[in-house]
Amino acid sequence: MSVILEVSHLTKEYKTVKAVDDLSFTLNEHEILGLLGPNGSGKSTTMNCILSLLRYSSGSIRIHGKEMSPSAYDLKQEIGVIFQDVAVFEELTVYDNIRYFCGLYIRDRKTAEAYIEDAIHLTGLEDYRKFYPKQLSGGLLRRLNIACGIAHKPKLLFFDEPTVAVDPQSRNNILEGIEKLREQGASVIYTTHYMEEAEQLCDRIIIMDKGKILASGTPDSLKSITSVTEKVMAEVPRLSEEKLHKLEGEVTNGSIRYENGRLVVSFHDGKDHITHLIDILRRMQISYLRIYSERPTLNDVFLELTGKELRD
Amino acid sequence: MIVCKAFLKVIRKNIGMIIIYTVIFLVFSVANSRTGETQTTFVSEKPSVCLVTEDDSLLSDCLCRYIGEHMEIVDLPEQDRADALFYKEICSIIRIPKHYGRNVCSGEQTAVGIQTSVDYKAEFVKLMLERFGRVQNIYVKTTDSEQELVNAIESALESSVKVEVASALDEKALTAASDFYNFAAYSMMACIVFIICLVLSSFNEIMIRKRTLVSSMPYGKYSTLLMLSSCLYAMAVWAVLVLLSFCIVPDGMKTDRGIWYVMNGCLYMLVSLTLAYLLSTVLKGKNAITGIVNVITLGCSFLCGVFVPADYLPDSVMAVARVLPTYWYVQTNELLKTTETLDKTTVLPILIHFAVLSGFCVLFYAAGMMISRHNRRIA
Ligand SMILES: Nc1ncnc2c1ncn2[C@@H]1O[C@H](COP(=O)(O)OP(=O)(O)OP(=O)(O)O)[C@@H](O)[C@H]1O
Ligand SMILES: [Mg+2]
Repeated sequence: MSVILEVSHLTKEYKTVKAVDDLSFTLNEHEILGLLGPNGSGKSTTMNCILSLLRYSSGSIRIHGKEMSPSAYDLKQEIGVIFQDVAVFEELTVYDNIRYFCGLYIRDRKTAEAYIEDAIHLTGLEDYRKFYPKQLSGGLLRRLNIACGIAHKPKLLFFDEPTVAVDPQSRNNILEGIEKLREQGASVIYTTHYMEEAEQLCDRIIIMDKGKILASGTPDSLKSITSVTEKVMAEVPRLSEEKLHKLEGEVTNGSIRYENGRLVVSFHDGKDHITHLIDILRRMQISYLRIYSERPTLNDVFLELTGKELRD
Repeated sequence: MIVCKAFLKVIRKNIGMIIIYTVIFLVFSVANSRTGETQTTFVSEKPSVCLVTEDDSLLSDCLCRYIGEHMEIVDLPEQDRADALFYKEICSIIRIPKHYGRNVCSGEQTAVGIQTSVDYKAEFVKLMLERFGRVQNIYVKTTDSEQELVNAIESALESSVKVEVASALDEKALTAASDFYNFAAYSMMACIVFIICLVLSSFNEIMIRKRTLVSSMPYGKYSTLLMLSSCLYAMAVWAVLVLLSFCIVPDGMKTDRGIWYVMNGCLYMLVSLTLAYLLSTVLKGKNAITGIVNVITLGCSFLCGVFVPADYLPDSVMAVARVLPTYWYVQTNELLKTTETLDKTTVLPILIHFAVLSGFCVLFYAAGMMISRHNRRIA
């Protein structure tokens, strides 16, 4: 597998904050790489630096072995970007928007038109060609945003949180679309703070916080970082301090947290502790609405690495 | 090309605005050309005078005919004349003294007596009499008899009357043309600055800019294309105005001034274009554009005498107006209207105004250039 993008020792300082701090990573061909981190962790800044939209303090960025710069138009020809915020013309229709952004890359009219059709099919916008952005729902608008970024069939794609504020169905459409693009030969950098998405989509994930890489690897290898083997969650509307204390005495092989009416018990040895916990709760006459078990997630990894939750 | 195309499409989305400005302008200028007509009939009202003739000669008859032609003669008994003058029923009492004809022919200094009230009609009467006196004094030296003198005076005054009629007609046409182009100042600036700012603001919207910056379209080429499109649009607006001027005020446009009006309009178009470019680099957001562009276009128009003739504006306002390009544009139109003949000396001030307008273009463009270079990266 050949390396497409190589970022080494990238540092970006704003006046008061270090948004990106000595970041190094590579992206391989046909790979989907996730940048996972909470709000303000420097994901967008990293992306903008790679795209030469921002001047960075130090480090180097190479694409296909060539230094990236604002005037590296041959490299830019191969790059497609979907920004966090929707970037389309209010005054142009869906078709004209895609036509315009595709036209910035593709001179030949015939080729451009064929490419636009492909983009429309991939994003499922067939019925909306003549619509203006104002007439589209939030999810459709996101899809248009994506269509504008991918129409010229780039080999290297950047997605910056494309699924923010999108309903689950549209989100799945978008994720499937990205999967399809990879199958067609693209390499993808995918930025998100939704760990489920990262887990579902990415071959490799970089977990970031405060501009630094905390951990990286495949979703499975990342999850092996944490010693948690199972989490059992129970919705318990009321629980007195005293009972909670007693419960902690009963459960010897796990750690207990109780907040917002939710009881979380993390176990560090083996699985299938749920029946055991149900027994204990029944014995102590603690009533619960719902109880379920969960495998460790990237959130647990993040929690273990930083002591705080990834979820906002 | 794709950039120009998108530019035109965005303009098309704003076509409503353009139509509104054009309609406002048409209503303005057509209404103005109507009121212009009624004004001329009002002006041609003749002043009333009382004529007392103590002489009975060919020359004084000739003078009486001349006065009768240009003024309304009112017969009044001796004792009422002073009152009539005081109450402005008449504006002057003209007295042709005894032996007027004989004295003039023999070369003696003889003046027509005139008593006037203080108003502009009396000034007109004095002017008309002076004119007769001038003509009479010219021909008295070259003629031998009173009859010959009278013939010479009559033909001279008649021909001068003819010239006067011709130039009056000309003046009317030129006033119409000047008024048309003065009004055009507002519509042209609004149409160009407002629309170009709106369209460029769409292209300069931060996310769209980012998209463009990461694309493989070289940024220099991209901004050149945008500029070119703006230029094409501005030229189209100008062309439409010129076309309209030939339809609405054809008489004025067919004179030798026509081409100068067109050139002045062209320079003003360029000023508007560069101003639009400058503003588009500074203004962010459509609301800001609507507000500020309105202030600028309306402000320029009012201060520089587009809506209210410059003569009615106080000097302090005109002094301030000098820093605005519209002032120079309007003044050029005024010059074109009032200058008798266009020759080397009279064209010079017009050319100076053109130079000032070009200066504004360069200034706006350079400022816009500097700011946009500063904004190139988003960091
Ligand atoms: N223009 C700027 N000036 C100063 N600080 C900035 C600027 N842009 C971003 N930052 C700071 O840089 C840090 C990283 O921001 P960035 O937008 O890269 O985060 P992010 O990971 O993309 O977050 P999100 O998930 O909210 O999009 C933040 O602390 C932010 O406050
Ligand atoms: Mg971001």
